[in-house]
Amino acid sequence: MSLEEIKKLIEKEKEAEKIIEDAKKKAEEIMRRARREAEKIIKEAENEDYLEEFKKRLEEEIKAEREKALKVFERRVEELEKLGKKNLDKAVEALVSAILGGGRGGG
Amino acid sequence: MEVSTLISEVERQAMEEAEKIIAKAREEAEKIIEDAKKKAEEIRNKQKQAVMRELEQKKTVSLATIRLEGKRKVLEVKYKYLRLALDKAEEILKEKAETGDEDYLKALERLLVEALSQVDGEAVIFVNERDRRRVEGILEKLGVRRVTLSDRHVDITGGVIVQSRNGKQIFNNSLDARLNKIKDEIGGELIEILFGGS
Repeated sequence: MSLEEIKKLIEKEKEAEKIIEDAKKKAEEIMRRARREAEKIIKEAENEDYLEEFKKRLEEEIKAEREKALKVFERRVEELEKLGKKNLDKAVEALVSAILGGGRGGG
Repeated sequence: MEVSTLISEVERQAMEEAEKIIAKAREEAEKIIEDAKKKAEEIRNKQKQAVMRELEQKKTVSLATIRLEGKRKVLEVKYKYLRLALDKAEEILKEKAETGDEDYLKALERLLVEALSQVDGEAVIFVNERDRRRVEGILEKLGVRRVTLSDRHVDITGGVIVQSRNGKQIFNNSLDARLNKIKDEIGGELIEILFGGS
């Protein structure tokens, strides 16, 4: 091997080292970017803004159920009012007859 | 080996090594992002579950309050009509007693007989002023003895109060007492009459 050839080989070896060095730098950059991206992904998840919408939706569901339950009772009260009015005289008659009719003495 | 071949080999090996380094970094980077996505999903799920638990509790309390309030309103309506029935019955009884209605007069006799049967020995009968003559008539008609009709008039709507001479036994068969007793006794029946099975 001539001196010239040895020089060329050394030169190539240096180039090869540089290629590997550059690849290592590029790899580090890839990893850095990945870590940054991962951090961003987790931070976004920790940020609870999106929960507001979720919470709002559930609260609306609760409100709807509440109103439904209220209406059921309102209807029931109305129905009882009607029945009470309709049957009041019958109840009075039953009371008067129970008192005057005997069988449920005092003491 | 020729020098040119050697040089090419050095270059090829370097390229191969560089590619390996980058491929490994890409693979690791993908894993880092994948893990982060999984972690983010876990965080979101935990947060959602916490919110759901909180709202579920809120919902339970809210619905229980409505149910209690609703039941209270239902009871209020039932009580209102029960009270109305009792008041109206009281008015009717008062009117019947005042006017000497036939039903009342029959009842008065029955109330007297029943009260006397509950008191041993000699009895003292207390009535209101209006019923005095009526009771005298009944006693005469029935031929009841060993009783005294008290001169002291009591403040009752109608009916009688009978007391043993020694004061140890007393039987209150006034309309007022019967109405009071009956409201406890037939409260359930009245509710049934007023509201059916409701």
